[in-house]
Amino acid sequence: MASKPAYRSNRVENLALVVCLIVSTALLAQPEKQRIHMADFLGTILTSPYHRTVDFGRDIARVRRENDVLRAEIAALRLQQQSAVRFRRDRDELRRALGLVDVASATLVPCEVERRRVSSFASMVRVSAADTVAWERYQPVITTDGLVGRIHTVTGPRTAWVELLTSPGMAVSCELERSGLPGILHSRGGDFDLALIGRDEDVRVGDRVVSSDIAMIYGEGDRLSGGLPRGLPVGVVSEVSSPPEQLFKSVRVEPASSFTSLDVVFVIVGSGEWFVTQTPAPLDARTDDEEAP
Amino acid sequence: MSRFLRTTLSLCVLALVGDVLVAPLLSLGAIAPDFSLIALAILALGEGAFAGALGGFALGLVADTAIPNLLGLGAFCKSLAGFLVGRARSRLVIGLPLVEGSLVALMALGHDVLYLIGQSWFSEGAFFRPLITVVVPSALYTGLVSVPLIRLADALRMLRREE
Repeated sequence: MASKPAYRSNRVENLALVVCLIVSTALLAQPEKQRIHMADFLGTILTSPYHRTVDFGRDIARVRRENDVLRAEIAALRLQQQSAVRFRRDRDELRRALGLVDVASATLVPCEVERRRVSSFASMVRVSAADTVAWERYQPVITTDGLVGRIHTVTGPRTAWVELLTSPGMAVSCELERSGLPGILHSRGGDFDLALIGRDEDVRVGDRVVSSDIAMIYGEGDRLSGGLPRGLPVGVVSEVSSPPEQLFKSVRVEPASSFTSLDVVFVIVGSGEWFVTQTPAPLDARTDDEEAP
Repeated sequence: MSRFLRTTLSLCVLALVGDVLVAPLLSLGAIAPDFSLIALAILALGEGAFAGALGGFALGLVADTAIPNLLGLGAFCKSLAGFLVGRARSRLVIGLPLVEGSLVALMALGHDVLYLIGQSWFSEGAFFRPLITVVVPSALYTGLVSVPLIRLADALRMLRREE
C-alpha cells in the first residue's frame, strides 16, 4: 500500500484548516469599511479580468438585437419627450407665476455593473462609470425598471459599491401610487414586505409601489440617509392579507427590477423632479426642448 | 501538467463559469445551484482534507469579493466545508450517485446555514425564513446538479480513491 504524502497527514490537514479559519476570522474582525476596501482590492486582482471578459462577450452578443429595440424606443420616447417638455414648460411658468421655487434637474449617470453574485446572500454590486462622478453616500441607484439600491461605499472617482434593496436590514420609505398610502419596504430573504399599512386601509393586488421622498432608514434607524426622489417605481403588490391578531396588513411586494441580472444601472446625482442624462444628446437628436426654460 | 494542477484549474473554471454563466440560467427565483461548492466537493473528494480546506478558503475569498461587507465569512464556511468533505471521503462509497448527491446537498446545507448564521450576526438579517425558503431548496438543488458533474469528474479521473 502506498504511504500518504506528507501534506496529507492528519496533523498537516488540521493545521491547514486552523490557519484558514484564523485568517478568515481575522478578515471578518476588520471594521466594515476596511473589509470593503480589502475586498475591492482583492476583486480587482482576482475576478475583475474574468468578469470583464465575460461581460465583453455578452455585450457583443446582444448589442445588435438591443440596438434595434433601442432605435424603436428612442423614436417613441422623442415623441413623448416633446409632450413632456411642453407640460414641464407650462408647469414651470405656473410655479413662477405663483412665486414657488424653481424645480431643479437631477442627473442620471449610467454605470456598468462590474461585479455581482447570483446567490441568496448577494447584497452588493460594484459599479463603474465612464467618467468621474460626484459620488455621495446614499445616492439612489435605479434601472430602467425601477429602484435597485443606493451608493454604499465610494472606492474611486469612477467606482463605487451599491447596496441592493435585498440587503438584510435595509428599509425604504415607499407609498402606494393609487392611494398615496405610506409604508416601509423590507427585504425578507428574497421577498419584500410593505410594513406599517393599517389593517383597514385599501390595498389591492396589482397596486404599484413607488418611492416616497421621506428619508431611507438603515438597520435599527441609527443611520438615516437623504430622501429618495418621489415616484421611482419599486414594485407591485402581489399579496395582501389581514391577520386577525395584527394591527397592520401583511403586504407582499414583487420588485420592479430583477436583482440577478443587473448589467447597467443609473445613479441619480443631485436632487430634483426632472432627470437629465449625463451624456449630451447627439446633434440630430436635439429638439425644441433645448430652448425650453 | 501535473494531475493536481489540471484538476485545480478545471475546478476553478467550473466554479467561475458555473456561478457567473450557468447559475443565472438554472436559477428559480432566489434558488440557484452553488457551483463553487460543487467544485469544492470534487476537489475535496479527489485530493483530501488539505486541498479541501485550502481550496475552500480560496474559493470563499473569491466569492467574498462580490459581497465585500462579509469578507472572510465565505472563506471561513467553505474552508470548513472542504475540510469536512475531505475527511469524510474515506468513509464514503464513491461511485453511487445517491451518496454523492446527498453528500453535496448536506455540505451545501451545512455551509449555507453557517453562512446564514454569520450573516445574521453581522448584518442583522432574517434567519428562519431564508432558511426554509432559500437555503434548504438551494441545497437540494445543488445536490441534484452535482450528480452528473461528479460522475464526469470521476470519468476524467479527478476523483482519487482513498488508499
